[in-house]
Amino acid sequence: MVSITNAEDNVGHSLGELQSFIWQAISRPLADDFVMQERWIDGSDLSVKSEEFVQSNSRLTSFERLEIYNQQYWYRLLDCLEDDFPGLSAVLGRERFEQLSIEYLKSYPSMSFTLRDIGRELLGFILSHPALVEPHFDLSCQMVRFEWAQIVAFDGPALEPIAQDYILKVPPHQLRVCLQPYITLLELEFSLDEYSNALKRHQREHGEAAGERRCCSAEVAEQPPWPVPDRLFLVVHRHDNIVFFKRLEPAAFELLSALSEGQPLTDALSCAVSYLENAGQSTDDLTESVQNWFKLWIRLNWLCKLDSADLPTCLSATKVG
Amino acid sequence: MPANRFNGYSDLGIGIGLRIPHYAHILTNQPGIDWFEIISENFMVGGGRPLEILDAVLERYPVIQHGVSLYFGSLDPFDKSQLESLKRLTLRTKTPFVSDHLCWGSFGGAVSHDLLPLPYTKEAVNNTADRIRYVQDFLSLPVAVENVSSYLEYTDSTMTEWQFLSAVAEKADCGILLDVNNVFVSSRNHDFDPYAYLDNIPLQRTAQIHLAGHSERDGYLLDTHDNFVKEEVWQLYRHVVGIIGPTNTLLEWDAHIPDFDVVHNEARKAKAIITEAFTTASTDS
Repeated sequence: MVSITNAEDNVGHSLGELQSFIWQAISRPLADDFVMQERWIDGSDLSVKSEEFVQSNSRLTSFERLEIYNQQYWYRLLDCLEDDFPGLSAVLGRERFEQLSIEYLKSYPSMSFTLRDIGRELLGFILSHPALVEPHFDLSCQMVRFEWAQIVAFDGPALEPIAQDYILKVPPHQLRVCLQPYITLLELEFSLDEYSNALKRHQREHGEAAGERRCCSAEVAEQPPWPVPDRLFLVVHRHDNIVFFKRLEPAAFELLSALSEGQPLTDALSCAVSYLENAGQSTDDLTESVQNWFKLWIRLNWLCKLDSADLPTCLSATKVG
Repeated sequence: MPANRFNGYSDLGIGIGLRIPHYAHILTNQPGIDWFEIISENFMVGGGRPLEILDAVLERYPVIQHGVSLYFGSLDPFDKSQLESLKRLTLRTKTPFVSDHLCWGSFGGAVSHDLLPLPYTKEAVNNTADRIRYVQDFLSLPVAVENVSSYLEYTDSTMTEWQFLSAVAEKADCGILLDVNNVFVSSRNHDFDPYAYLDNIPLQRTAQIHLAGHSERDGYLLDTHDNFVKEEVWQLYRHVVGIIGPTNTLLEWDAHIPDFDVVHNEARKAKAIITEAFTTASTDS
């Protein structure tokens, strides 16, 4: 066993005191020029406070050594949010997106072991802080839903999909299915799918320059055209483990939404019929359409058996408008 | 110490970190790599492409899990769902051991996603060792702790880093994932002799060795994993394998990742050093 001299720990700070100070110091937002704030929470000189916990050396002061971790904390989390929400960043502009991110992380620091979850509360935060995204509140909310849906689609769990014969065997009034947990149904007012594709093309073409952050405040190059207002019904899903967005006819979307809420097929079909009638559209071809929709959805593995054991997960496949 | 109880008696050779830019090359060309290391958290997901890739790699290669989020030195209780997810992944990969860092990183439930250095105190030894033991018991697998690169030292420390690492490893009865690049980076940042570090830790507990590149910053070295291994670090590696013999070794390259062959060639340097050390040892005996 190693002999530890002078290790009685009867002087200095407890581990809890030390971690409390360091945590507060590294998670405090940086000053405007991305350096550590000079004043501590109580208004005192942080250089002095730092020396209480952190040793200086011949090259760096205690403050400067602590600042390395303060900067790393914010650079890492801001980069992660920008990676996850490139569309929102493009809509707001990098500077406003960064400000939104800082305010968000102040309210919602990461509580998960994985950075994958870092943006989980972003929509809720924007809903309660609309001024941070005005005048693009609606677009911003929809963009966050759309981009979070892609994260879910990328690595969300999958259930055993149902086969065609299952649909044929079960009477329609008893047939209840659910959607894969990685699927999100989105009712949008902007063509975010096209915008997302344009943005990816733009980023590929402007690659490295567009990827540089904090080196320059100006936008690097002209952005892709603004998202076009367009009411659309979108499914964010994956196929062969690649994330896709698929537009649906409104009646198909209504049917799929009703099924995703656990309604039996007959009730879900009634929703689709009601939608068509309210929209003044014919229901004459609905039977054939429904058959084609189901063929496609089964081929894409979207539908799963609604098993009571799977219910909570299964119904977490969300419809958001 | 090629195979020992700290690495699940694995004698795997030289590995490379499994990284996204190399997926296509690995699956298409099936390069002759001894093993891959994965960052556990990247595969603790419900499904999708990460697990598809992992399963494809597992068909061809041994995989060892390395984590970044257990924060053995934190005071927060463990997230049970995280540990359960980690355990599920170990059953999938059949990793012979798991590793994570000798650091803290969460406070009050919030997570920094950084590897924060610990104060080298008796209290920190006890807390860290207790948590390592808990994870070893939970996973029913050996755990190895990795020394981190650090950029600050605490006024409260009452021992050296190598004394702290030794005390934790012995109290937890766990392995050491010896990152020789981190030893070098910290030695420069804190003005100590890296050889004194290596000569005063229980090297017989070495489960694995990490190698990586670092970068020079204004007044300190930063562990960036974005370049070739520096010569001084190769010298340290040579020193360690000269003492303990061929040991599982990983070449890490996590930023500005070049073509797979560039990383592979860098890893081959480790193999050459091991071969040299082994040959020398055989000749001497």
